[in-house]
Amino acid sequence: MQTVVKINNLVKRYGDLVALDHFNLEIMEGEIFGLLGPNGSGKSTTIHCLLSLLEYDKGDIKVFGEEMKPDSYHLKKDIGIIMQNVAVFDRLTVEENIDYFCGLYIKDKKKKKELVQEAIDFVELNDFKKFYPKKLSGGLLRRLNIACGIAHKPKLIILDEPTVAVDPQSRNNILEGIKRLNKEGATIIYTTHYMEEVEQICTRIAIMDKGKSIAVGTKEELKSMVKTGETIQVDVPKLMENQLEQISKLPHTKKLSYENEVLHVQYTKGKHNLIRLLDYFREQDIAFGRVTSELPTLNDVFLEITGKELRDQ
Amino acid sequence: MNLFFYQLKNILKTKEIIFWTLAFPLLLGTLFYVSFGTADTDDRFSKIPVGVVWNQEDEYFSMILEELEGELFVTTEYKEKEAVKALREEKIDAYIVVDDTVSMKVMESTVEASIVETFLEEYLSTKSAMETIFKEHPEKIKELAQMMASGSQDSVSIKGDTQDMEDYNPYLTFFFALVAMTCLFGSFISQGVISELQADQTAVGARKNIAPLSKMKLLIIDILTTWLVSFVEILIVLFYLVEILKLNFGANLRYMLILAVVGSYFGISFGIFVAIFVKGDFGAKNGFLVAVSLSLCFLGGLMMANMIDIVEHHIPILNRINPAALMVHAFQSLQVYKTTDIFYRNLFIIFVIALVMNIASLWILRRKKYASL
Repeated sequence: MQTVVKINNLVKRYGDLVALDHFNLEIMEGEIFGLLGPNGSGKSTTIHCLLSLLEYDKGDIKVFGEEMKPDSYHLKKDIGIIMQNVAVFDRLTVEENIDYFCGLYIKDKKKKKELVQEAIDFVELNDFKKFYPKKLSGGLLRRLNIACGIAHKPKLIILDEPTVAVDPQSRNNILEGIKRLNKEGATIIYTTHYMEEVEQICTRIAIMDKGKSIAVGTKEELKSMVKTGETIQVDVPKLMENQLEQISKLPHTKKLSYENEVLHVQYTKGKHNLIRLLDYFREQDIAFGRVTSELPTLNDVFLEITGKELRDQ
Repeated sequence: MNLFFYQLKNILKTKEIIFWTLAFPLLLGTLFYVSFGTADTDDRFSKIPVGVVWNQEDEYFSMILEELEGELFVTTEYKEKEAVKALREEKIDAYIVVDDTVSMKVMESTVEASIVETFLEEYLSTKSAMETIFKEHPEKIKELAQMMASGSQDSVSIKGDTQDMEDYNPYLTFFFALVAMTCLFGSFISQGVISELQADQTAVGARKNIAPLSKMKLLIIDILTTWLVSFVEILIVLFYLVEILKLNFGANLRYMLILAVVGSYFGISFGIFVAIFVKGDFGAKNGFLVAVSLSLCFLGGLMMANMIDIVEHHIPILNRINPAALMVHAFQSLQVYKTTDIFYRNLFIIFVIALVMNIASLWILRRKKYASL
């Protein structure tokens, strides 16, 4: 597999603030690569440096095996970007916007027309072709933003937090669209601070904090880095102190809490934890209701590495 | 071509821009016309009212004045105190005191006062030669007087080829400055368009910056589009003033087109320059453009017709580089002095300033990376 993006020792400072601190990254062809991190962790700065929009203090950036510079037009023609902020002209219609941005890449009129229509079909905006952006809902506007970035069929698509302030239905629509683009052959870089999204679509993930890449791998690889195992949650109307103490002594139990008639038990890695807990309830004749079990999340990975919650940032 | 037309549509559908760059000048022109339009015939330059205080007889000067009575001057004889009073009450533009020599007094510097002053200088410098002519060829006095009058106007018109000043209307300065304002307001169009080419200003700018198209090419498309819009707007304003309001600009279509081309080029170059070199967000840059454009137009006579004269006396260099003053003077040269030298010279200066701003902007923008977004 070919390396599509390679970043070595990238350093970017804003005065005294180090936005990227010797950041390294390698993205292979065909991946959906997630850059996950809290706000201010350096995700967008990485993307802007990668696109040669931002000056940086140190490091090398290669795209498709070549150094990326502001006038690397032969590289830029194969890149599509979907910005965090919607980047369209308010005074051009949906179709005109897509046609304009596609026209920056494609000169052949016939080919461009086909690509524009394909992009409109892809984001399902056929009924809104003649609409001006101001008349579109937030979700439809995001879809237009995506269409403008992908109409020229780029090999590398960069999506910088495309689902911020988007309703759940549109978000799913966007995520499904990204998977389809990837199936059609595009390499995807997806930045977000929503761990659920990277878990849902990314084949590999880099977790960023304070301008550094603190962990890289598949979601399974990242989760295997943590000592925490599953967390079991049981609705229990009544539990005595001695019973809680006995539960805490069951094998692999790491931490437990009992609040509002709900028992949370967190385990270290190990098997049959749920069976063991339910057996104990049966033995003690303890009545219980709903039972749920959660595997460790990327938030647990972030928490264990940085000591803080990803979702709290 | 596609990018050009979309950019054109984008500009033309921006109502605020069209209001300030086209509707506002038309409205202001109408207001000026309503305010000054009726004064057009009354206040047309005809004869300069001049007081004469005869402290001593001067046969030759008397003969000269007699010849020019009703042609260039309308003279009234006064005692010195009466002349001062008449001057204060603005019954006369200047008064001439005739004793051992011939001198003049004025309240303020005006075109009329300058003509009288130049006429006197002309008379004094050629007095001895004239005395000979008077003695030997008295029939040539009229011709001589006409030459002096013409020479005075030439001098005031800065070496122009003045034939007459029959069409001079001081209120036209407001309309000339209005056209200059329209040219400068063209900067609002280009500033808006260029902000959509800068990654640190707009999201569209960021998207354009990562497109596989040279910044120079995009900039040239933007310049041509904004230039065309501004050019057409200036022509519309000129057409409205000349053909609808029937103001006599003294310029034919060719000069109008030339001024519209150069004026619009200056306006859009100015907007690009500010968009690139002035720090701040879109609003701050826009505010800067409004402040500078209006200041330049004020100094060019948009609010006070004699502002150019005031500036000429205090900071003359400003009149040589202020595009609004240069444009107003270019129009005046056509309308009043019937000369094209000043017109072409002033427009050349405006063009050079615009070109310098343009080259500097292109140089900075062409491969720009940003420190922050």
